[in-house]
Amino acid sequence: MDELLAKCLEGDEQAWDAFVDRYAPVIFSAVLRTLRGRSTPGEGQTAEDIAQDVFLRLIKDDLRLLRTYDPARASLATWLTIVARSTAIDALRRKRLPQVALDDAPVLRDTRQSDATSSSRPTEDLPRGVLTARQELVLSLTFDREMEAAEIAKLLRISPQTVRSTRHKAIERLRRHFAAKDSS
Amino acid sequence: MSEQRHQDEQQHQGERLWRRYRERAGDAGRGQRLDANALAAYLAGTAGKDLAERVEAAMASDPSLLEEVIELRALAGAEPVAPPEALLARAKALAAGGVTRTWPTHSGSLVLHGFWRRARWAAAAAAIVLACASGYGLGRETFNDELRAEAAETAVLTELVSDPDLAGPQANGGNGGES
Repeated sequence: MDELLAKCLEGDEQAWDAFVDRYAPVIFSAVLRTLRGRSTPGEGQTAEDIAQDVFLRLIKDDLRLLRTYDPARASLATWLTIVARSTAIDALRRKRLPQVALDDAPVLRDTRQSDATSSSRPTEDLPRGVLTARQELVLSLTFDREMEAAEIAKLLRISPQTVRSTRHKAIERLRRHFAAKDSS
Repeated sequence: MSEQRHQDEQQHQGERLWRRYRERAGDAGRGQRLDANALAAYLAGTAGKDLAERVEAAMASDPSLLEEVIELRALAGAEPVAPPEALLARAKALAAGGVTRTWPTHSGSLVLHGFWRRARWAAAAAAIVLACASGYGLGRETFNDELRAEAAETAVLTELVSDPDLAGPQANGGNGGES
């Protein structure tokens, strides 16, 4: 475990000050960027308040939340980014800040919601394992979010070739599955 | 051109198959909760195969989680922004007076909780000492009273036994002392 974090968890006040100096930029920028496009002007002050809420969440109840961080999984900066974003989203929901949609904000198409009956259809006629999780995800990103292979590759940290290959295999599986189903 | 048309047709066919699959798959996987450590591992690329599959399955079926991961990727890769000095001061002030040995708090400030904790312990100790001292004092007093009473009784009995005039007729072997 990081030495600074270990000292913080022991109650060392100087370590806490150093922790704040080191990670406040990460937390503040995560909050600020999360608020962008979701709130009206004046967000500077709101971002500071929410960032303070993040530190309060980390420290309260004997640093209970900070103690849940697992250093074996990822860096503390990444973990704090997730916590900061989550805190900002929760604050927005509580404060019900007006949400301003940017002209260039991506529009999420959820085709499942466009058909009110689709979510109520039974799932028992779809055998398990038709598609793997990754195949589902790649097809979802391709057709639901209309993302290019390069974008998907960046999101999933795989090569564009792997994306295309996964997509091809997934479609083949679906073709075989429905062909067998239709002929039966 | 025919190659392009062929590819377009393949794409459309793939999309049709995907939509048909999605109608049947329903919302399985939606609402799966992933904790910060799991998400962090996935973002960092350190998630094991099982966890990565679980995260991707959840992303495939939950648009809000997918949106979250997309945004987190952007946030994690962005340059940190220098925070206002006031924020640094406020955050550091949270720890003033001892941070890790405080009681659970419902208020926003932990500054005074170290003091009140110590005060509570001191009051409890004083109450215990006072109770013990009171008990000891009472005990001593009643113990002395008992001793005095016992001594007085012993003195009377001794006197009775040693003085035949005071002992009465029964001391001389007469009937029971009835009058």
